Amino acid sequence: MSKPETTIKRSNIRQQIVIILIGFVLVMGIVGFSAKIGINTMQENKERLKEIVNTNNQKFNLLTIMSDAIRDRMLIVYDMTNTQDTFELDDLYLLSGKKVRDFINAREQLVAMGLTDKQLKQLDEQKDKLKQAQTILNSIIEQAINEQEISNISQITQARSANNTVLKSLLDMQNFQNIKAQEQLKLSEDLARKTGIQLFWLTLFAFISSIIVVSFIIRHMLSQGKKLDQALLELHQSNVMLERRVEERTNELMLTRSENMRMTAELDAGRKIQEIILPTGSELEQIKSLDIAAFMQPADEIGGDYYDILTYGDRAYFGIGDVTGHGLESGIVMLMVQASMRSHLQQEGDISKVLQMVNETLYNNIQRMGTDKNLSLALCSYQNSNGIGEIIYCGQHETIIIVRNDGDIEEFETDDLGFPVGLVDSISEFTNILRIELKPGDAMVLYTDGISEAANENNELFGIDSLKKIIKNNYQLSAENIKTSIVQAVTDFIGSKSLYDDISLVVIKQKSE
Amino acid sequence: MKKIEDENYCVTLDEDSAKVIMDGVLRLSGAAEFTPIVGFLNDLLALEEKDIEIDLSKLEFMNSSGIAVLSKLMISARQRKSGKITIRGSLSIPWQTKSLKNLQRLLPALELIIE
Repeated sequence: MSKPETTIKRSNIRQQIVIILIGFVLVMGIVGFSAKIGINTMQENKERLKEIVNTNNQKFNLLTIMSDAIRDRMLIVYDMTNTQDTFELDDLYLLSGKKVRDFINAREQLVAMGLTDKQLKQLDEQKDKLKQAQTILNSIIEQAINEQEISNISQITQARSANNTVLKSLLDMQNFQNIKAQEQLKLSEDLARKTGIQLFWLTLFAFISSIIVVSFIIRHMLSQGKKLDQALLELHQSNVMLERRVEERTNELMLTRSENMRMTAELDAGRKIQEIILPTGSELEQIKSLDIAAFMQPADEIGGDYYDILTYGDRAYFGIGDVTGHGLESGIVMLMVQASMRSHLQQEGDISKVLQMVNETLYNNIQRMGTDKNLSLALCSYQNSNGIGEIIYCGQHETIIIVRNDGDIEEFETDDLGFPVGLVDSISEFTNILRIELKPGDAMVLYTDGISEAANENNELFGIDSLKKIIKNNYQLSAENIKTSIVQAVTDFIGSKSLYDDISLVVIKQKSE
Repeated sequence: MKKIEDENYCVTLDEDSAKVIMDGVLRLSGAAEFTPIVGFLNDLLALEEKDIEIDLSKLEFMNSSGIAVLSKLMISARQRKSGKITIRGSLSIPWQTKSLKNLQRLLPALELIIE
């Protein structure tokens, strides 16, 4: 597995960073736009201020015109009192009239431009003084035109004084207008500067905080990305491990399967061996004085049960044994026992000597095989004389069960009759023989522990007592039927549980003639 | 105290009290798997002039390989000049009666306590 997911996640992070940067640029754009609007407003303010200044200048000029007109008229009137030239007098008269119109014009314009209440009040107050001065000046002009002597010099002084009051008032107005304009200008400029500075700090603050936030987010995202990478890497590693484990498990399964195949082959081979060497029906029938039935059911796994029935001369021999454990090795050991028994029996009639020889053969072979197998093994010889059978029994195996022709059950221990075969190099000091007489109708039952230790689903054992009970209940039947009833009872007992060990059973019944 | 164990069995060697205790179900396959336990038993046997004991009274099952190990131990123990050997078993465990008696037949001096 490669790491495409990691790169996909990486590019996701890159996309997010780009989005954040675009957001940042947008924020900066908005801040810039606001600044532009602020600057525009300031510009407009400045224009308006300029207009105010212009208006103020115009008003100032008009006030100057008004002052000049009053002052000029005073001078004209004064000149008229000093001249005798009638033309000049006419000119001065016209001029004085013009000055009056100039004054009125300027005044009208001033009012039209808009004045404060205070200024309008001042203008009203000037009217009386002006009227007073005007009246005096008009009478002086009249006297001058009529070439009369100026009757009262104090009249001029009065007019001048009145005019001076007006002039002073106008000057006040001018000064006031000036101060007000300057104040407005200064205020406006201060405001503009303040706004500018505020705008500058605001922008700077927005910029810095945006950078901090964005860098924090980006760093956070990068670290998240790293963590994600790490997690993905770990995931990837665990995936690889998982895959490897699955592969291993698959290999194991394949091995198990091949092992199973091998075991199935072993099982088939083992069963074949057991079947091939079992005595045939015709062999059993050779012993005329005996009713014999034998049964073997191999376990699901190869067991190592052995039984054999053979005749040499006037004697019959029965062997039964159970190799420890399961599997092909047990089967092979069993095969060796069978061959060894037959070969030694051909040369030796003493069954305890046969057992000792079989033990030697088996011990050596088992050592050579490097296995720990051994077996319980019993060998009986049988001879019939006048309808009475004599059994000579040798070897350590399961107990011998004898059912008499009246249904009595006898059980014989075999522990002291032999020793496990193949366990130690010599058993000669441990073998003993047991003689059992079989009257007509008496029967001997030989079996392996597959019967006595057959287990049901609750792991309870069939047991020797159940076996004895079945035999007792069926003692009158033929060997074959006794065998069948035992097998049936064991099969019923096991139920659905699979057979763990081979079941072997030999029933020998002395015929009643 | 030395121990060999898995989920099925536990074998303890107590050299101070000259004892090997086997508990549970010993179903090891072949001599190779029994090697550590054989080591314990040989260590026990090597305690010269001491009375030694093998306690099997809680050993529910032992397969043929285990029986073979004990049988060989009995044969080696024949060479032992001093010190008693005791094997303790239980009547309630079916396989022990016959197998342990066979051990005694291999080593008549063996003290067998089955109770």
